[in-house]
Amino acid sequence: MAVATGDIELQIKGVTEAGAALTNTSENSDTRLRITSLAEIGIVRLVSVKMSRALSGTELTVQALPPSTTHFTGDGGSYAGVVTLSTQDQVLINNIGTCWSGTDQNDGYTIKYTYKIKTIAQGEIVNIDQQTLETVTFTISDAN
Amino acid sequence: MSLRNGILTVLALSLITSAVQTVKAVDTNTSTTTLSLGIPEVSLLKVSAGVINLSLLQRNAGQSIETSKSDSTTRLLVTSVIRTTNRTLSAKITSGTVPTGTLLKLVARQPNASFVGSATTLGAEVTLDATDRSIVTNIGTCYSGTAASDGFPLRFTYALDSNTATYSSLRANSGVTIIVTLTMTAAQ
Repeated sequence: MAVATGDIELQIKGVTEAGAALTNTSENSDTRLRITSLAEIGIVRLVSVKMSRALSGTELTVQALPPSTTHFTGDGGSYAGVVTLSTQDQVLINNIGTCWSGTDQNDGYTIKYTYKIKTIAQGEIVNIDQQTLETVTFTISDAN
Repeated sequence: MSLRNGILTVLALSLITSAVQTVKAVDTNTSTTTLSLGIPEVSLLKVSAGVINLSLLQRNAGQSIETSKSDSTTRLLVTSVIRTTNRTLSAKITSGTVPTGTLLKLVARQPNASFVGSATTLGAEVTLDATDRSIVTNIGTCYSGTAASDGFPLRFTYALDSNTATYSSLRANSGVTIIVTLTMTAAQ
């Protein structure tokens, strides 16, 4: 398995109206996750994902989406939907069989990141990371 | 299968195995990517009201004019995202002079339930002059909402100076315009 893109920058824009909430989100779908899986009969695999550190005041989600090219061959499994990243592995793609994604520029699962301000409660004291570098790790493993 | 074909088959399998090993030497069952995540600091203020009229009117013969008049219709809208240091909201008079024998005071009140984020510390009522006077402290990451009733209610009070010795210096006027400027500590 390999991530086929370079570093990703997600910058939440500020607001211009006093009193307004920072509800802007920053999204990026440039990342492609390439895969080659040869699974024995009866074996399915999953891709899990985690990040290196818990965020403060903000939230980073990741979602696996179908490849944008037609090179993907085999049983690519099912998508687990939007995952809010934490330091614990969470399933991103289920039931992967034997498959390969191709190795051309846009081959592989499309990985969509969304970065946003966490929902803040009234009176909650929030310290927001202004600028941070985070590492996201994808792992493929047998599901059973 | 002839011996020749057998050798060819073994060779082919050997090549395939070699190719798989070459791929595995580069990619494994884990892969990482680095994300740069950022949010700008934000420090925004807006006052919701227009001109506020405060006049001290006459009372019965033998009494002073009204001793004070207050207005709490102004709302101060705030959006703040801090890095590490809480902000302070201050107020001062930047234009006009409060008539002799009178005082202009200001205090911020608790905002309504639309206010989200860090609780702030409201200061005591201050008498306004040309120097910044702190009215709200410990402003962290928060926003007040933008509706008509959102934000910090600001109560302005126009009052006679409690020092009665100054009463004789009062003079009638048709309206003195005072501009009060509110400032929140900038991004740091």
